[in-house]
Amino acid sequence: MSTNDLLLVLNAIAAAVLIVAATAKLADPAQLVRALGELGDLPGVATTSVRLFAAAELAVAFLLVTPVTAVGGAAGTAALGIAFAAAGIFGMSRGSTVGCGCFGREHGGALGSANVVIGIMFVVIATATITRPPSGGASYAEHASLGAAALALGLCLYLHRAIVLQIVSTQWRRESAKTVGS
Amino acid sequence: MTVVLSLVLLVVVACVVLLFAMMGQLAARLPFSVSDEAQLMPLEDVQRLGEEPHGWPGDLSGLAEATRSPLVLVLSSSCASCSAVADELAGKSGSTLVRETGVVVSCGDAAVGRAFADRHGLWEFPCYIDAGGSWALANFGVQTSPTALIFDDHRLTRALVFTNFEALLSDVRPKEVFA
Repeated sequence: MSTNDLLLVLNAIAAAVLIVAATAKLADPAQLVRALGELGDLPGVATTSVRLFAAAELAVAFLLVTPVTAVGGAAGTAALGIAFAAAGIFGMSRGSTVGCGCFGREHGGALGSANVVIGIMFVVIATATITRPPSGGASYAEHASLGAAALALGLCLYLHRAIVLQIVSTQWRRESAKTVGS
Repeated sequence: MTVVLSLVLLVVVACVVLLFAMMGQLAARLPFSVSDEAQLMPLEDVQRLGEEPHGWPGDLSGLAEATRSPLVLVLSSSCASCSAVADELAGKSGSTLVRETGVVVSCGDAAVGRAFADRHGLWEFPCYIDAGGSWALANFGVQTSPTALIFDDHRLTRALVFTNFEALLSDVRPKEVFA
């Protein structure tokens, strides 16, 4: 695997994680507001600002998947990574207990070490992208977009597997009941 | 062109992920989590345990005269689990279960409740369309569905939130086979 291919994979992973995290914040900004509120009276924390932050995450995710904008996306990824790590460290120092809802309310980890790990991961990916910008033009963009889409969908299905299983089992039971009654 | 299509696909996937996030957020607001593997759970905040209902409305009136204390299922016309339970009930409509199981269809509008009962063949059972959920709420504080109200000597002894009717029957009528 070449350096460019490795960057493609890493940026696709980062983009996928950002897409899933951003959509969780867009759907339920209140959970993160509650989690941050537990840490103290932080200025500017509101559902609107969380949604704006989510929009920034989405923008960075899309910037990462084309070589033309990848360096800018990497700068954004680094900034987000620092923010996540800072939030995790702050959460650990204040003994946070409220789930951050970073990937949905039902995934209830409080701000802590997981956020630090993800933040560091983002900073590492961003650094690699900035120091060795990807090349490959259209081919890179295609593969990175498709990779990010597949990973985002896979991560989403994994995080919401309970809902998916319930829908599938309900449908199966309905079909079974129809078969019994006919 | 393929780059544009790839980016469009990424946008579509982002929308699908957003849809799942919204579903997850709605599910997390339910009294019990969709990821909960328990099929039976006591109903929290149940009221008037040990008491009889203020009355048995509509087709449920026959249950008041039944020699055996009834099992009453509270189903909502807008709940996917309730539709699944209703389909399970439909499979037992020819059994002795019919005589001792009442169904309360909680709905915002009576027409919607009747359509739910029609769709799932619930009229084989003593069935009451509870517009606004007022009977279930006023009598026993039921605001969750599907809920099973288990009576003994016509007095409420248990209220269970359930997702699987067979599991409920195994718990409340363990030694019986309904044919």
